[in-house]
Amino acid sequence: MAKKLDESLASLGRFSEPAFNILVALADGPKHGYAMTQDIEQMTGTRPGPGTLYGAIARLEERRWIEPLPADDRRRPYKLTSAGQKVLRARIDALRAVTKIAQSRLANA
Amino acid sequence: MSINRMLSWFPLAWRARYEAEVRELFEAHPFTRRERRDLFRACADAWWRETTSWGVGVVRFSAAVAIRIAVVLLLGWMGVRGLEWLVPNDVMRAWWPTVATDQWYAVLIVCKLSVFFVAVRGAMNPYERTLDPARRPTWLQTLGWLGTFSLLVVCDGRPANLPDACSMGIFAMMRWSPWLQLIDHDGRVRTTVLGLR
Repeated sequence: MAKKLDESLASLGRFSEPAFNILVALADGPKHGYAMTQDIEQMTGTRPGPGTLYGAIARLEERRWIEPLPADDRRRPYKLTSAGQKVLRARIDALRAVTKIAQSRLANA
Repeated sequence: MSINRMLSWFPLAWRARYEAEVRELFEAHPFTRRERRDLFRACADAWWRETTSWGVGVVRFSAAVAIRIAVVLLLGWMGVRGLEWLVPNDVMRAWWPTVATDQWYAVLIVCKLSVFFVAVRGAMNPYERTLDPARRPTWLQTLGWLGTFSLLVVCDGRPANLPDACSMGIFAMMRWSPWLQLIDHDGRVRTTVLGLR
C-alpha cells in the first residue's frame, strides 16, 4: 500500500518533487503560497517558481491530498488532508529505505 | 512583459482560482527572469490541464492565440493608416446633403476615436474584463456600439473598412470571451451558449 501511494506521488511527473516539498511544508500546519515558498526555500535552498508551485498545488488539490481553507484577504491557506499525510508518509518511508541502502553501500566502499 | 500581461494568457478557470494568489506572491519579492520562464511553462501546463479533450484544447488555445494576433494586427493597421482611417470619406456628402459637412466630420471623427479607444482598451487585457461580470459590456453598451458601428459604415462611404470591423470584433470578444473559452466565471465548464448577463 505504502509503495502504491509513493508511486502515486511519482505519477505527478516533473511536479512530483515540488509536490513532495509542498506536502512537507504543510506537514506542520496550514500555510499560504508565500509561506510555502519561504519554507521550501529554507528546506531545499531553492525557491520554487510560482508557476511550478501552483501547478503542483492544482494537482495536489485535484487528488485531494491538500485542501484550501477560506481565503484571508488574497492569501488562501492550504492544509494537508489525511490522504495527503498517507502519501507523504509513504514517500518518506521510500526515501528512508533508499537512504539506508546508500549509506550501507558507502560504508562498504 | 508585465506580470499582468503574463497572467492574462492563462485560461479563465485558472485565473479565477489562482490569479490573486500568484499576484500576491509577485508582490512579495522581485520578478526574476527564471520565474518569468516558469510562468510561461505554467501557462502552457494550465491550458493543457484545463482541456477536456485534446481536440477541444487545440481549438480553445488556437482561438485565444488567434484573437491576440488579430488584436495586434488591428492596432498596427490603425496606427499605419493614421489620419487616412480617421478622416471620413467625401462620399458621405451624398448621403447627408442637408447637414453641414464639418458637423458630420466631427461626429464621425469622435465615433472613430471611440472605436479606437475601445479597441485599445479591450486589447490591453480582454479576458481580465470577462472575469468580473460587472466590467463586461452590458447589452445597452453593446447596442450603443452596434449603433456607432452602423453609423460609421453608412456614413463613412468606404465599403470595406477593416479596422472598424476588427474593432467591432474586439468588442464582441470582450462581451463573449467566456463563451470562447467555454468556461463560466466560477470556473465551471459552460453548457449554455452565450455568457449573457
